[in-house]
Amino acid sequence: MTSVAEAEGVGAVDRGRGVRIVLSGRYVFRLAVLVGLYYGSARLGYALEFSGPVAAIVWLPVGVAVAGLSLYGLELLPGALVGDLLANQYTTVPLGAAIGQTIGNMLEVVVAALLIRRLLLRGSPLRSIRGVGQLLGALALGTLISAVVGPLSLALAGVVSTDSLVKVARTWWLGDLCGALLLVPLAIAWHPFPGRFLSRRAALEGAVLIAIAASLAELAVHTHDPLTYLTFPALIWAAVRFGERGATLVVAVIASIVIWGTTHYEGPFAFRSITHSVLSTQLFIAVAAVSSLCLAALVAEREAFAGRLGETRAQLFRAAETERNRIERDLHDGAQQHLLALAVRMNLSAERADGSDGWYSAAFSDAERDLHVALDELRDLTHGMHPSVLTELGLADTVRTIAARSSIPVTILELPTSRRDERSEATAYFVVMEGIANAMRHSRAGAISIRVKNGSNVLRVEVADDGIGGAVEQAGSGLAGLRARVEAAGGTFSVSSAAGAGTRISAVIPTAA
Amino acid sequence: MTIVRVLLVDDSDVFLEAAVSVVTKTDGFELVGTATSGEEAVALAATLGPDLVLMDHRMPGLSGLDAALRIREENPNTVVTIVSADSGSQLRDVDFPVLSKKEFNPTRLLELWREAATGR
Repeated sequence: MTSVAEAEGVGAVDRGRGVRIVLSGRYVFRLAVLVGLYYGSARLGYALEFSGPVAAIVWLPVGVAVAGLSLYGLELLPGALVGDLLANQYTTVPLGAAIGQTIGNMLEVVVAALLIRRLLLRGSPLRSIRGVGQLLGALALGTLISAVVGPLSLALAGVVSTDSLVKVARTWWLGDLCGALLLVPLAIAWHPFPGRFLSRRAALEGAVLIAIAASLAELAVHTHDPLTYLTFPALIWAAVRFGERGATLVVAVIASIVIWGTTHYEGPFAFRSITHSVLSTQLFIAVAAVSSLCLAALVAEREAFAGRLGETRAQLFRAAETERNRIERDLHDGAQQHLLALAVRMNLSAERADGSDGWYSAAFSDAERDLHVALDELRDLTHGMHPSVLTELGLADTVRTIAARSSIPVTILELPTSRRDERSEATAYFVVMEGIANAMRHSRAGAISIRVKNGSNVLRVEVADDGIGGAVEQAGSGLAGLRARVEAAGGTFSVSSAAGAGTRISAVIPTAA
Repeated sequence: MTIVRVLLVDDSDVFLEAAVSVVTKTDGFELVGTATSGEEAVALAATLGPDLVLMDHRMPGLSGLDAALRIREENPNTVVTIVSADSGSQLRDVDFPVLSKKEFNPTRLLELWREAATGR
């Protein structure tokens, strides 16, 4: 049996004789991966000379550890600790200072990860400006701790002078912050790693984007002209088209190339003064990362808002449809039955009066005829509200019925042979009905043609006339109402109506599987 | 002349009342019962054994068509006619005689009965 602690990866189990850590295979694996990545990224930093005089331009291990602990839990801290102890350069830094640095680094990781874990409880912080702000705050605060403790340890050990303490602390802080800014949002955006999330076309666009971003960054670092701003269109493209995943990936690509260039004395940020180079590169990375994250968050917020708006609109239409159903039922059960009963009694009276004065008989017959007109109007009204006939007859027969009632001759080109769900059929019905009504009212047409076609998961409706054309969708018009109705059902709607060329309205309505 | 025993079914009291007047004033017709739902109609048809059932089409619960099918199954000699408030064309595929409520008068009822009687 697996204990809860084991299922969680690690836990403290009270056996009566103290607390024992239960280690699961998964936990040990994650720990080992973290140690490897932490140590590896530190070695990479040293190997590629990503460092200034004392502190790194970009200290990636902090990003690795904060991302790991934020996503998988603080119990992975031992992994970061071992990685840090292994990565320390004991030959150049006294043991006491190295341990001081490690303590600072661990405090930094724990504070940032704790704050980010709280943010993650509410969903991805990258999908709102507020979330991005809070994430940046957590990273800034966490890295500040290390930037205070680390340089202080070095100063106490006499490795750095107290004069340069502030400068070292600044470089340290920006280096850690850049490392965190590059990796933590990247990890949050891509965790868990999505399966197939792009269409072939989008994947191709993504590949082109990365190639262009890398080329622009290469171009920027191979000249001393300040051309780094050339990378910004690629960053904007990534954020707008691919959201937080695209933004974080492209920032990482561009930052890697720019750092490489600067540390190898290339590009616009390679100055004679190393401190100047480091600061410029760090600021570029921070600005690029923060701008891209904010833009991606803005895009996500806008998309979420549009989604909610669409849902609200659909709800509104459903509510209106329910209300129309109710009114139709009430009219059918109430007024219509009263009028029908009256018509029946009129007819009976007319038959009874037949033998007496002809005037009475004629008066009853006239009244009965008027009643029938009223009943027809009432029927058209209720059918316009909700097509109960549709439920009984299906779309094809209902379209035939309304086509037969049209005062302009209607040619039916095609009708579906099988039934679809009630909602899509009702929407298609309204397109046909409103299309015919519109043609009768405005088109002065001599003929109307209707085509209703079953597609795969859609109903395609087309109503065309040979009238004067020139129809426009004005607010409050039948056509505008029809568009709203079709779009609320998740469909698309179009009207083509050039003057003199007739009017053709088309709708594609998704059907329930 | 044999008397045609009629069962009237409609969930609208107003129309049912008017229909009762028509049936009672139709020569050779005798009203043997009224029902206001499909379920009640099926039960009454079983006990009364009417010659003609005039069944409203649209009713809550057991629909007019379902009730008509059940009655025909249990009483093959009973003529069941669907009475509809909507235009008759909508029920053209139905395997029962259809009468529009607008034509609910003695003349049409007699015609309908004659057609049904010769059709059998």
